[in-house]
Amino acid sequence: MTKTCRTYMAKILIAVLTAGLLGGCQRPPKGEGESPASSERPVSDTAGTGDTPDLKQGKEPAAMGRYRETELELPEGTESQSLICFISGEGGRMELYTAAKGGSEKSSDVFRYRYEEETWKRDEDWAGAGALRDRGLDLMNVVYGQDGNYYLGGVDGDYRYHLLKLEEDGGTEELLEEVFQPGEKKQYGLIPPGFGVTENGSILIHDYWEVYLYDSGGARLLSMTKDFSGSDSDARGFLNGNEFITVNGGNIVRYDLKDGRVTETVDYSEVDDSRESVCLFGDGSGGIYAVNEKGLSHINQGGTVWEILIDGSLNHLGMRSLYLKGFLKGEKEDFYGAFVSEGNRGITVYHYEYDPDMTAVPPLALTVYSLEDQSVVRQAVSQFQSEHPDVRVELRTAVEDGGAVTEEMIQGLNTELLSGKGADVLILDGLPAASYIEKGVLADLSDLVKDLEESGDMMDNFLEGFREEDGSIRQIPARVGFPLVTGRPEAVKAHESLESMTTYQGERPLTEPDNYENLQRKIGWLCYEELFGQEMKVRDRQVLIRYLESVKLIGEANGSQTSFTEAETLERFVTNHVVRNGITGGVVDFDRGVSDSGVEFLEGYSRLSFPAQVRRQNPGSVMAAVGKLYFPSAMAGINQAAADKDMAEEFIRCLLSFEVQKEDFYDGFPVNKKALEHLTESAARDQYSESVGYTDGYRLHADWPTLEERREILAMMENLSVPVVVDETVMKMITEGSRDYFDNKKTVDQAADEILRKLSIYLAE
Amino acid sequence: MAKLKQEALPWLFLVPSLAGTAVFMGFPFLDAVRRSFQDAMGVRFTGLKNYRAVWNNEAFRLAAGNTARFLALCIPLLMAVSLGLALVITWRRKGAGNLRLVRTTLVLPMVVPAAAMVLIWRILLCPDGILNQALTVVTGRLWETDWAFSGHAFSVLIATYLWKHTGYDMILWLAGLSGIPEELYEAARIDGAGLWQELIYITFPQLGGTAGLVGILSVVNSFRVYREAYLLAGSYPDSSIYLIPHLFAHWFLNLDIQKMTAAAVMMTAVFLLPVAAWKVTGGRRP
Repeated sequence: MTKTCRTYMAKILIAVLTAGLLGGCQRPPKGEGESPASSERPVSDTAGTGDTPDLKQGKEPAAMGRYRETELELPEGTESQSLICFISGEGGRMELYTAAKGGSEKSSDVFRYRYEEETWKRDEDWAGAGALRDRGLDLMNVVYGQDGNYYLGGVDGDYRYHLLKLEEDGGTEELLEEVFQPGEKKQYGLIPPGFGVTENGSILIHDYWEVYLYDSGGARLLSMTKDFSGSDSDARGFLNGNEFITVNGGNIVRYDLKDGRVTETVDYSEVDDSRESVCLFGDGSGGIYAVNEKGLSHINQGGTVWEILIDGSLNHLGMRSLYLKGFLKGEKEDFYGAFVSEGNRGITVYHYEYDPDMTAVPPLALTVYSLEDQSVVRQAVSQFQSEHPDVRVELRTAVEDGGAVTEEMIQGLNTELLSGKGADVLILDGLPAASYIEKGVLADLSDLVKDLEESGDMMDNFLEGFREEDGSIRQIPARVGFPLVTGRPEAVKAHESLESMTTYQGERPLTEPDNYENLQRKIGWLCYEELFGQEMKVRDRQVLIRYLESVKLIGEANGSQTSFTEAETLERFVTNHVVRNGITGGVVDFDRGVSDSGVEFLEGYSRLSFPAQVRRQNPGSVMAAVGKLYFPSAMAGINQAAADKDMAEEFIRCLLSFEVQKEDFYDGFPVNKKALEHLTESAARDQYSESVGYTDGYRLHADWPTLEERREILAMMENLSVPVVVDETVMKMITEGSRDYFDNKKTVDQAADEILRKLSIYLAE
Repeated sequence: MAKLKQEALPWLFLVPSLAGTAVFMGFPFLDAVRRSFQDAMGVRFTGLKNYRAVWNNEAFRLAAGNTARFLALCIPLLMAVSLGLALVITWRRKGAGNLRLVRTTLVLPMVVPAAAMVLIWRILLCPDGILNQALTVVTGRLWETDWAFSGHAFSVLIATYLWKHTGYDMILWLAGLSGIPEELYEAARIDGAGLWQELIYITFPQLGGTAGLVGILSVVNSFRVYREAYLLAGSYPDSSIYLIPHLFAHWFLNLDIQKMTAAAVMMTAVFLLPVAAWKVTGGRRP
C-alpha cells in the first residue's frame, strides 16, 4: 500500500469517526429517541376517553390494549360481612363465602354467593351453612376439589380444626381427624392456612413451612417444603392435576405428587413485590399466573420469561389498604379479584377485562420520588390512578427491599434536579428539604394550603409549622406521630424541660434504662425546642455540655449503659438496638415498676393500646403529650421544574384527601381532620389485641383503645404545634462524640470539644 | 506546504485526545465557570457573590488548608521515600543480585482495593487494635487511642497514602534510573568520583524529567486520598483530615452547586496560575 493511499484511508477514517461522534450527539427529531419520561408527557386526552393523542396529532400511533378494571356490585348485606374465601366452584362458577356474627354464640353465620348471569345470588339452600352451625364451627376455608366435591375447613370453640366433606345429600363426613389433634403436651393442633383435594381424593394440607399429602384414609403420603406463610389463608400454592405449585426458597416450584420431586423451578424475583405476597393460580394448560401488588403476570410451563398482563400500579391491585383474598380466571380471558380492607371486611370484587381501545400505557405521566417505600404514598398513587385513568403515576423509590439510604441516592436525585428534571412530586423524608427550599427547587403550595384551610379538611396546626419566613409553604406532611408520656403525674410533668427531667426526685427513676444512644436521642427530641430548634441551640458549648451531663445523670439514675452484654439484655429486658427517635416503648417499664413514667411514640391508635391499658391498671397515673411536639412524615413537595404543576398539586390533594388519609397503615396519624375524626370515631377493632410477656412472669394484654381514650388523643393532637425535624447528621455527631464520655473515658469538656469541632464544620458548610 | 504539513501532523494525531479532553473536561469546566456566577438552579446571575461566600466559608478554608498541608507534606515525602527505595534497589541490583521480592512487596499495596486496605488499617488502629495492644505491651500502660478519629488522624492518612503509592512512584523512578547511560557513571568513576558525587552530578540531574512526571502523578493521586479518608473516618472525620472532596461531597448533597463551581474555579486558578507564570517567565523549552 502506498503512502498516499494510507494517508487517504486515515483521513477517511477520521472523517467517519468525527461524523459518527457528532451524529451520535445530535438531538433526535421530535418524537423519536426521546426519553420515556418526556415521551409520556404529550398534551393529551385529559377527559380520559382513552383516545390516543398521537393519532390526533398525526404521529406514530400509540400501542393500544389494556385490561380495564370495573367494580362488581355485591349483594346487599355483604358490606357488614367478612370474606372467608373467593373460589371457582362447580361448573367454574365464581363463589364468595362470607361470614357475619349471628345469633348463635357458638359460631358465625356463613353465606354463599354465586355469580350467575352477571349478578351475585345468595345460595339460601347451601347445606354447608347448616353443617357448620350444627357443629359449631367457624368457617376458615372452602375448596372445590378436583374430585368434584366441596370441602369445608373450620375451627370449633376450642380452636381445633375440622375438615368436612360435603356429601351430595347435604350430609358431611369428617376427614383426617387425627391429623388436627394437638400433639403430645401441646394445647393446639394444626390449623392449616389452606388445603386442596386431588382427583383421586387425596388431601393436600398446608402447614406454615410444609405441605403434606394424605390419602383419604389419613395416611401421610408425602411432605414437601415451602416458604413460610403466617397468613390464615395461604394463596401461595395450587393444585394442577397431579402437580402442586407453590413458593419455595424464593422461587416458584412445581412438585410431582407421585413422588414429591421438584420437576420445575421458576425464578419470579422480577415480579415479586416488596410485601412478598403473591396469589398463584393455573391457566389450565400448565402455565402459572402470579398476582400481587405489582399486577398479574403469567409464565408458560417450561418458560423463563414472565409476561405482565395487568400493571398493578394502574388499578386497585397496587392499593396498600386492600388485601387480595382471591384471584380467578374468567371464561373470556378476563379475570376477577376479591379484596378486603382491615379485618377481612369491606369486600370488593373487581373485574379485569381486556379493552383493545384503551391505550396500553396512559398518555400522561406523573412521577413521584421517595427515598423509601411509604404505604400512604403508595395508597395515594393507586387512588390517584383510579381517579385519573389517563395518567400513569410512576412511583420511584430509591431504597429497595429494606436497604439503607445512601448519600449516592440523594446525589443521584440532585443531579436530576440540577439539570431541571427530576420527579414532579418529591417525598422529602430523608432529603435535604431545607436546602431544596433555599435553592428554590420546591414550588410554593400556598394556594393549595389556602384551599385546604378553607375547606376545613386539614388539621391547620400541622400546616402552620411549615410556613416559611416569606409566607410560602413548600412542604406538607401527610402523616404525623407524637411522643406520649404515661406515668405518675409529677413524673409526666417533669418532661417539660431538661432541667426538670434531670432534677426529678421520685420513688423510682424518671424513665426506663436503655442504651445511652437511645436515651440521648429520646431526651434530645423531647427537649427539641430547648436543645435544637431552627437555631440549633446545641451549637452553644454550654447548652451541649448541659445536654450531655443531663443525659448522664438520668442514665446513671436508671442504670443505662452504652451497651449491654447478652446476659444483661436477658436479665434486665434492655436492648442494644438503636431507634431513630430513641423511643423504645417505656410504658411497660412504668407498669412493671421500673420507672415512674414511660414514653411511647404514637403513630396510630394501635400504639395507644398499651399506654391506655397501663393507665387503667395504675390508678392515679396520667397520659400527656410532650411539649406540643409532633414528628411529621411523608412530607410532600412539588418540583419547581415539574412539567405539569397542576397535576402534581392534584396528586398532593389526593395524598391529603379523606379517601387516602382514612386508611391506617400504622405509619402515623392522618393530617386530614375528617379522616382523623373518622379513625377516632370508628367502631373498636374487636379482632385487635396486643400482648407482651417477660420471663419474670410479667404479662400485659391490651385491646383496642376505647372511644374516650381515642377522643383524648384527638384533643391532644389538635394542640400540637412544634414539628420536630430530625437532623440525623447532627444527632450522629453528638452520639458518636459522646460515647467515650458515657463510658467514663473522657471528660464532658473533651466530648463537647470533639462534637463541636465536627458540628462547627457541618454548620459552616 | 511541506513545512505546514509537518507542523500540522502532530496536531492531527492529537485531535482524538484533544477532542476527548474538550468534550469531557474543557466544556464541563466552562459550564462550571458559568454556573459559578449564577445561583444554584442557574436562574439568576449573582456576580461574585458565590466567590465571596466560598472565600468566607470556614469549612472551605479548613478543607483547603488541610489539602494544601497534605500536599506540601506528602508529595516531597513520597518522592523522597520512593526515590530512596529505587536507588537502594538499583544499587543492590548492581551489587548483590536480585531484589524482586522487595520490589513486589512494595508494589503490592497498589493492587489492594481501598476498602480492604482501610479495613486492615482500622483493625490496626482502632482503640483495641493491634497498634494499641503492641504499645500497651511495650510501654506497660494501657493504650486506647482511636488513631483514625483523633488528632493523630492526619499522620494516619499520610501513612496510608505513602503505603499505597510508594511502590508505584518507585517503579517510575526505577524506569528513570534505567534510562541513565551506564557510560556516564563509568567515566565519572574513572575520574575518581565516589557514590555521593555520582548521585549529585549524574543521577539527580538526569532524573529531572522523571521527577516532573512523578510529581504530577503524585499530586493527581493525592486527590484520590479522599477515598481512604472517607472509608477510614466517615463523611465528617477529625478536622485535621477534612479535605476539599469532603466539602464538595456535602455541598453536592445539599445542592450547593454554586459554591462547588466557584470553589472549583478558584482551585483550578491556584494550580494553573503558577504553571502559567512559569511558562511566561521562561519555562518554555528553547
